[in-house]
Order: sequence, then C-alpha cells, then structure tokens
Amino acid sequence: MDLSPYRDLFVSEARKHLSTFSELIVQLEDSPNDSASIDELFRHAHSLKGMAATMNYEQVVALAHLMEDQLSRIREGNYRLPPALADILLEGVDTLSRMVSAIESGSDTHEDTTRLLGQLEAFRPETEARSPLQGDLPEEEAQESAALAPREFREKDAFQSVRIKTELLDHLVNITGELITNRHYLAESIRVAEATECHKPLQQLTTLLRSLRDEVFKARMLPFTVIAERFPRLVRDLARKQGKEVHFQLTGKEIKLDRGILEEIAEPIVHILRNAVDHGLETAAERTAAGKPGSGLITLTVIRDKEHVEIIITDDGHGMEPEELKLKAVEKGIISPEQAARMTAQEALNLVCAPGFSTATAVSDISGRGVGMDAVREAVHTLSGTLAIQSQHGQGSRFILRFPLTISIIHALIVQCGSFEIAFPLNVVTRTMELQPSDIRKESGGATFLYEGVALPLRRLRQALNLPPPAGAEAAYQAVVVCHVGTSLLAFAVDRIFGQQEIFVRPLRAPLSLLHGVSGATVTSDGRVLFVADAAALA
Amino acid sequence: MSRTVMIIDDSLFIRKILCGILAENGYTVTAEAASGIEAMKNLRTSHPDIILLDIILPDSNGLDLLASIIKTCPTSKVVICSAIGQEQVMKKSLDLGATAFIQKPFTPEKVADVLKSLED
Repeated sequence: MDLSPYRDLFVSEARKHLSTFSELIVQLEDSPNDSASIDELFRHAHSLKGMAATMNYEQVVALAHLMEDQLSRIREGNYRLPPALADILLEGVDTLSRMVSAIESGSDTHEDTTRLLGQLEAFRPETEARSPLQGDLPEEEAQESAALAPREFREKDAFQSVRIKTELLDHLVNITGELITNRHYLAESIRVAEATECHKPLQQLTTLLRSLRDEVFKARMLPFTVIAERFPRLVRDLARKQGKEVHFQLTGKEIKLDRGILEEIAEPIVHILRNAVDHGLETAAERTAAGKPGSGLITLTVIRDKEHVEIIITDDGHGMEPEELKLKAVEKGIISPEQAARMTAQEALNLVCAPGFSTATAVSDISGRGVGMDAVREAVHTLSGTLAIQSQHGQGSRFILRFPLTISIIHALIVQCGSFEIAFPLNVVTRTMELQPSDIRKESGGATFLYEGVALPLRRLRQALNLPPPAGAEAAYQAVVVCHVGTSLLAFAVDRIFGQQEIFVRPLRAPLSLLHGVSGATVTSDGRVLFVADAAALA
Repeated sequence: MSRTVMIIDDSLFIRKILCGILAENGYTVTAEAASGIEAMKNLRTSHPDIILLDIILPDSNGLDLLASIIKTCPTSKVVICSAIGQEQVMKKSLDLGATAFIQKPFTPEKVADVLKSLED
C-alpha cells in the first residue's frame, strides 16, 4: 500500500502530539504531583509511536518508544519527574520535531540519535531523586492537584475545517485589498459623474466589502498559543542555565491575532523574556535576602479589545533605576549630562530602547541574529504598535506591547507632499489643523507653534522626505498633521490634506524598503503609488 | 456486495489510513466519528456491517461506549482498535460482545487479516 498520501496528516498530527508533550513536561515540573499529566505524556508518546510504526518511520518509533518507557517507569514507580529526565525528554521532543520536519520535506537526512538513545536507556529515576509521589505532600497541595480538571487533549477533527496554504490566504487578502481600493475609485467616479442612481448599489458594495474584509481577516487569525507554546520551555531552560528559580504564568493564549503580527512579534517577546530571566530576576539567595519568595515570577498576558491587542510581560525582579539608566546612557555617549538632567523618570526608562544602549549584545539562539531592545521597539513600530515600559525599583518591570488587530488594511489620512501622496496611519494622528503664517514661530531649534498651551515642534514633511521646498508664493495657511510619536507630540507641515481612506498596505521590498520615513505603500486603482508615513522615523 | 464500515477514532490520521486500507480491501466506509457522542449520533440512523472502535476516546469511557453501540446496533460486528498494554480492556471488550481486535500500531496487512477473519 502506498503510504505517501498520509504523510501530511502524519506530520500535522505528530506536531500536535509533540507540542502538547513539551508543554506538559514544563507544566509537570511546576506541579510535579500531577499524575494525570504523566498519563497524558505517556499517551502522546505512545500515539506518536503507533502512527510512526504504521508509516514505517523507524527512527521515530525507536526514540518515542524509549521516551514512553521512561514515562511508564515514572508512572509505575509513582516517582516525580526528575529535572534531569525532563531535560532528556525535552531533547527527545526536539529531536523528534526535527525528524518530523525531515519527513515533511521528504529529505533523507538521518538524525544521529546514538547519544540520546543511550541516555534514555541508561536513565533510572531512582538514581536521580528518590522521592515518592504520594505521602510527603502537604494535604492542601494534594487536594489542589486532585481538583485539577482532566484536560481535553485530543482534538475533534471532523470535516468542519479544511487545511489551506497560507499563500492562498495572503492572496485572498491581496484581492480584498485591491477591491477596497477599487471601491474608492468607483465611488470617486460616481461622485464626479453625479450618477445618483449608483448610490444604492455602491452602498451595498461597501457593506459587502466590509464583511468580506472582516471574514478574510478572521481566516488569517491564529491563536497566540501558536507562538506561545515554546515560551514556558524557553523560560524554564534559561532559568535552569542561570541557576534561578522561575515560575512562568501565561494568560490569554487563546486570543487570536493576525498571522503577520504573530510572525513578527515572537522574536521581540523572546528577547523581553530572556532579559527578564537574565537581568530582571535576582537569584534565589538575593530574593530571600530582600524578603521576597525565592522563586521569581514572570507573567505574559494577552488581552484584546475591539481594535487592539495588548501583550504585557512582567517580572517581579529588582526593576530598573532611572538614575542608573541615565548614568549609563551618558557614559555611552547616547545623551549629554544636560539632557540626562532634564529627563523624566519615564523618559529614562525608554533609554533601554536607545540604539547602542544594551551591553548584552547576545545573539539569540533561535534566530541567530543579535537582538536588542532597540530592535524590539523597531519591530513593534513596524507593526504600527507601541511599546511602553514601566518599572519600580525593587519590585520589577512591566513591558506593554500594543498592536492593531490586523496590519494590512488600515485607516489612513491621505496628504499631499510635492508630487507624492502620503498616508498617515490614523492611529498616530491626533488631529489636523490649518495654521496662519503668523501662528508659526521660527526659533533656532526649528519651527514651533502653540498647541494646547505648549510649543509643539513643526517639521516640514517635504524636508523630512528630502523633497525640494514648494515653488511660488507661500500659501495663505499651512496644513498641519499633529501626530503622537512614542510619548510625545509632533506636527508635520504638508501641502494639502485630502481626507481619510481605508488603504491596503503592502510591505516595501528593496530598494524601496531603504526609503527613509516610509513603512509601506499601496497602489491605487488608477495606478498611483501612495506611501505610508512612518511618523517615528520622520520625527 | 461490499460491506459497510464505520470508523471511530479521534485521530484523523488513523481514520484516513484505515479508510485507505479498507477501500483497498473492497470495503465501503460509510461514516467516521472522532468522538463517542459523534459516533452514537451517527449510529442512530445507520447500522454499518462493521464498526472499528478506538477504545480510548476523549469524551467517553470506551467500554461504556462499546456497550451502547452493541445495544444500538446488535447486528454490527465491532472490532476494537487498541494499543499494546491495554490487554485488560481488550479482554473485557470481548466479554462485552466485541468480535475481534486490532492492536495498534497496525500495518495495512494486519488490518486486512483481521477483517478477513470476520468473513469466515
């Protein structure tokens, strides 16, 4: 019988087993008395082995078999999962995942598993820690673990869903984006032609397009857990490496986000978590001396409202001291002592995102790239999001990442600047204004005007985009767009304000991606290119 | 006439591969179910000749489900699919009225052999 048609199904089911398996191990280390989890672990290893045996994947069978053996020993002997075995089992999961990926890509590469198989075969729980599961538990804890509801770990797989390639989804989004742009063009033509009989069909088209957009975006949404399932493991491994005790709490992993956002934020979150374990949390001894529980707490919480999603990462470590940050920034020549003196505590905290501030230029294991907090902030901005940092000395830090739910279609304010049309995402626009020339004060540091009682810096958008100044006489009034950039306000002088429009943003590819101050573009139906302004970069 | 089969297993992979094996051996799979509830809903309206039942399902006690199936479809032959290490359950299943069992992990040949034994 030809088994190849079943390969994709095997791969997707094997991956589900493996990811649950690794989640369960980390969970089990946190609550070692949960014997139901041991049963589940055993069954996942067993199911995977069975599937692989049917498909004749012998390497997978051999490894899964030994992992299952170890779990069965733990189960029968009523032992807790020793950390050393958890390490070996997690390595087993990683190796199995690589094997599954090799199966998926159809490559013949064979993993060298001799050492791992040897370790699995030789490991005896007795030699690690002789701590029987029952009997030495405080009563409360025993009740607590017994009260845990049995988890549903098998998924119903009826014909209610189909698997489609992500490129197809992206294509659907593209077409939807084109349709939306096209509708604007049609609406404009109808207005110019004064074709009132078209108003009703146009309105219907608008309604239909809106629901099409919503549905297509819904299809692109994935639960946060897609990227989050590796976080508990990551925190655990880092903590073990640092000899620190860490408890990790993840809330809201079922919340759905656009796939594009998920892909981009995984790495920044990893960086923040890594910082929290490496630099945020103290050692158990330091914590005890400071009157804190020996085990540190890191939380990751995802919450969403109608338009936005927030990812909040906290640690209860020693926090950051604004004065120390200022001192370090001055030492590194990032700011002058005078600037430091003028800085508020909040501004000082934001210094950790300044390029060149981070001393730990650690290269991330996962991506192989060097990532600092400046890269984190950059990634968040690229997604039209914001990053807020809070910290209390001695009590810990909090990083809040806030994003729009989808990134490709945005509401934008369209302005003219020279021969270009520029779109400002509405989420950064505070308001638009028309200034008389007499409102504008020209000072040595640049132009400003009075806005709600404060002198607001005014940048010429032409200048920021390296465009020549307008020819001819100065206009009677100046159109201005007030934007918030980070925590401060800033205004851009533009030639003309056209109005709001829903636009479909495409990322720019090289060489256009090198353009300063522009984060994306969209092509209108009549072929004009509209650039999306990156207010932070233009500031 | 080809015989009709229903497959009850929570793994889509197992269901599909069983479908393939059954088709190659001239059987017609008339229904699939991923859970006990789904299975019972289906069995109220159709009675296949053979029912392949995974004894470990997310929402049911396998033995209770087996008893309900036998009560609902007394003419269907029930084949239990179960893993090594479940010998006790297998024995109880046969006592309850299951006709045969297929041990997981299975090969296409093993499945075909068990099905053939039902014909005799």
